[in-house]
Amino acid sequence: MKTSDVISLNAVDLNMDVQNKEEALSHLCKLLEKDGDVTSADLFKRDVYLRESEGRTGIGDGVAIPHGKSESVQKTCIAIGRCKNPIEWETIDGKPVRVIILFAVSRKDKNNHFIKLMSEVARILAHPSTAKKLANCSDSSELMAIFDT
Amino acid sequence: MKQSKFTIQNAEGLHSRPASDFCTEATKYGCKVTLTKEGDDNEYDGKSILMVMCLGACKGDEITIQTEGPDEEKALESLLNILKNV
Repeated sequence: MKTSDVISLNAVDLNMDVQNKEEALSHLCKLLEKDGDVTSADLFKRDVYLRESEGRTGIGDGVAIPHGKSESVQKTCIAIGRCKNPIEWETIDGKPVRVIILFAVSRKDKNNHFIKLMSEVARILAHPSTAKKLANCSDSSELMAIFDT
Repeated sequence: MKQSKFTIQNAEGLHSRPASDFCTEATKYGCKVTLTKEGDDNEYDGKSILMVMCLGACKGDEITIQTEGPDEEKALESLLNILKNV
């Protein structure tokens, strides 16, 4: 499984003009709904916030990995947003976030499949150059290349 | 150095929330904390949320937690408790 195959290209926005976490998540959830990946942006967002209430999803270096395991998800996929300006987020390093990797996980994939997907993304993010590449990539093709492993 | 094996019981595996709880606990101790998984040759830093997620531990996977240094015994006991309560 290539991580790039799971990214919903129509739910990628590298130029999000958002002021805060709520706006960022709303925007990405709506992109997923528009693309048919989730049946309801509101229901999916509710499940994302359920997970947010359990603990920090900001993993440091300006990256957050919010996720929702939801009945609303038709197909497990990833939406990616990069904010024009850093936004406040609950992070392990106390720094704001620019890159949001939002996992939409269907109920049937919530166990092993999700763990393996998260593991693959973590391996890519753990590479020293990834955070910088994510901050600087200029279009979807360059973004996909980062995750194309 | 202390170590212990643990088989993941949670149906959702060692996902991001328990991984975060594990790392938060691990960073309280001065010792080194390392995770390995059967079938995987790599060692993962138990104090790094990214590394713990890289482990990709699913239900039924046997992992080994290794602690080495100050408070290694106390750390191991505490971390095993975290995993048991996932």
